[in-house]
Amino acid sequence: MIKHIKSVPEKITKLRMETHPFSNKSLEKKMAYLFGMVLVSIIDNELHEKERSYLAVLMNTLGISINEIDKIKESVIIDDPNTVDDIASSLSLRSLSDKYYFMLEAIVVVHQDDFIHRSEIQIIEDFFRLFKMNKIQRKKIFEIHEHLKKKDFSKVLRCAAKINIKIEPFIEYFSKTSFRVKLYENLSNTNLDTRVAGILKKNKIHLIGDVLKKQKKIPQIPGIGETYMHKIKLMLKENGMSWDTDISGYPDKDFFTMLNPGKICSKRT
Amino acid sequence: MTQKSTAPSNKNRYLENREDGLKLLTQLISAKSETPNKRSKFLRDIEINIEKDFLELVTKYECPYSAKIYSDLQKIYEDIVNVVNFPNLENTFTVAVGGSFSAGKSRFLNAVLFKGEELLPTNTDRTTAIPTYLLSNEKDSIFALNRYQHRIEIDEDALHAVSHEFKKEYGVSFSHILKLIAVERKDIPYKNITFLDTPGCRNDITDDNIAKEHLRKADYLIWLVNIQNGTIPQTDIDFILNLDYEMELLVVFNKAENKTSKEISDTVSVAKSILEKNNIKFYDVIGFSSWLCKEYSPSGKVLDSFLSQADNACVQTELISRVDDVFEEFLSYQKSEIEFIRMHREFLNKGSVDMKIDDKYRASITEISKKKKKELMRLIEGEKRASILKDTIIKNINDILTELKIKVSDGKTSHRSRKGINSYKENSCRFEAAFQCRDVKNLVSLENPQSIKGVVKKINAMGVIIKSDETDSEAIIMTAEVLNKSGMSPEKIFQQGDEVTIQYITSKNCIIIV
Repeated sequence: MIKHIKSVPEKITKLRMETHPFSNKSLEKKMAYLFGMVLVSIIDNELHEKERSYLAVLMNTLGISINEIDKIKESVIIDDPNTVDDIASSLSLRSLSDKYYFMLEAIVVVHQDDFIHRSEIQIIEDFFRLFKMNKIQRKKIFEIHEHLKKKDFSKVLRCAAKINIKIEPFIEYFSKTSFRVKLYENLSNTNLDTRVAGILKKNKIHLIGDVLKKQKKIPQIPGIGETYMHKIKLMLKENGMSWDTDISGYPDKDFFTMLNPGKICSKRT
Repeated sequence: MTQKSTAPSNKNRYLENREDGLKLLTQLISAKSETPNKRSKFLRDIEINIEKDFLELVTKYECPYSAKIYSDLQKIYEDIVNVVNFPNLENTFTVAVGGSFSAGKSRFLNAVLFKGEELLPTNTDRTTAIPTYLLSNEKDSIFALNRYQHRIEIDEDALHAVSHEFKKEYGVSFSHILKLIAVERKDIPYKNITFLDTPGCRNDITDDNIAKEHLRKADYLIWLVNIQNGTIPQTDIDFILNLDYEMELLVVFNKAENKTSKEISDTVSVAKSILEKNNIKFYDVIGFSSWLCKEYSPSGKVLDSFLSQADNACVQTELISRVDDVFEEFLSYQKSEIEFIRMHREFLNKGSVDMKIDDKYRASITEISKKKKKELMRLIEGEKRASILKDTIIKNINDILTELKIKVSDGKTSHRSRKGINSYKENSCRFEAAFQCRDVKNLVSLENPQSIKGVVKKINAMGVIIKSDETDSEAIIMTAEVLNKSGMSPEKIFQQGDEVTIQYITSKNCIIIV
């Protein structure tokens, strides 16, 4: 059973993808879409912080209250084969591009935590089978995903054009939104030296975004010398950022509450 | 203080001596409350919260559900008074013993709890007219609670007298005066169980209703059948089905001492098939002899394991979450009205800016918008006041519960889930749902966003899918929400084509009222 995760506030974050082919669909289809994404993200008995962030952005995009996330999670019965069937039937994806889109997003979701569990591969296979997608079609999706991961957007666009899939939301996510999400990553989850992270934490600097926001104060913190400043700079670089990175709009309080840093507990017991 | 009976075991002073009988009657009718001062103060505070503050609130900030909410709050208050008078009833699971007239309920309880000692009056005539609770306590005492919520300590003779004999002797029945009797004994082996001896069904309508009212509050049910009947009579099946909710049920064929093992096992297997045919879930069916205190079943331990299960479960009160639920109705109505006016204002403001209209009309629109703002502020104030009142009531109840050392349910994993089902059946139910309206104009033009007609279109693994043609909107109640609120799966509550009411809350959320 999934441990209860602190529910998120009604006023949700502004982080969303501008265009999504499902944002204009019926509520039933949107919900089935989300159920599918939640199912693939919790099938390995774990809801990673990054998966949760992605789902939150997706819910914003689809216009569904983030408050529903826990109820969706509780409603999804992993072991019940009817769940996958009901999701597929409610989605009733007729166009091939919608099928491509769903499958691509499902793959993006399972890759959020950088670890692919056997059960995740199985559920993706189940959906492929239910949508009657052949090997060539599957290959094309994985190919797009590979380019997305490498942020090679020109190749992504080229591949997507071949199968007539609206790829902009993914590019938007990988180029902008995922970066915004990263600002909320806890320093203890980065490769930053634990001693440095500890000193920063004592000075109420918990997240990558906090480092950038309070960058002028950091050199004045006792114990932070040039070596440590360099380590912080390296950590920023590893996350695709620098001291000059624009963080306007940070922190978005609602997103912060939603992630509830340090308290996220998603392991299934 | 416990009053020890001085009368000989075969004589009853209240029946033999008319003066004593009259004294008992007077005592039971005009008893003064024994509630300690501190608790009385908390109770008074809650009463003021409900009778004065809440009524003031709903007078100022109208809500169509005010009467229902008020009545629910009064019920909660009544239950709090019961809890204050008998804290142990709330701290334990209730195992009710039901059955038709002369099934031997009281004798069964005497056998199971007192090894045959005849504490509870047993008779071939109608005996238990007043629901009698039996529970373990550090000292032996008997209390009666009258209709004015006053608790009176009585002795064993009085217990026997009020149960039936008093009516026979003086023509006065206590079943309309006394709400319940609580017998507290040191020797009851189950510390976490309250046993409930109910009036037999099929006596008369009043007794049936009293029995039902109390049985519905129980968590477990032992249903006794006289084995001489041969099987479970249809009237018993109807009575159980009429209880309208599921609770752990053990069927006991009493007076089995005169039957052979084969006869008992045949009766049990027929009874099981009858129960299954009627879709009644049951824990088991056994034979029992109250006379010999003996169980007739293959393991011989069914009754013991049934009671141990209840005895070892964790009990938490749901009083706080009930207050939360009741206020939720008022608050969600206020929230809905607030969102609706906000939507109207947005529409008006957008219109006055976007449209190329005459200044005169623009001024009128601005004027309407200002009035809406005023209304909005009033509603926000109402919402705030309701939240404060809710918190105050909860605090006062919490103070009482702390004083009584009663555990409070977290409202999520209730251990008294059956009581949740019970309350679902008693009242209409409200479910939170995701909401989407394709065109906001459809909502703006509505006169009452609190009651949009909807129809259940589909029930599947996700939940219940509802559509409203009137507003071209959709709502989905998640499966988890239905399970949490009612304890039942969506299929058991909803059917395709069912009509429901959608209460608009925000552009993404609504409440579905069934």
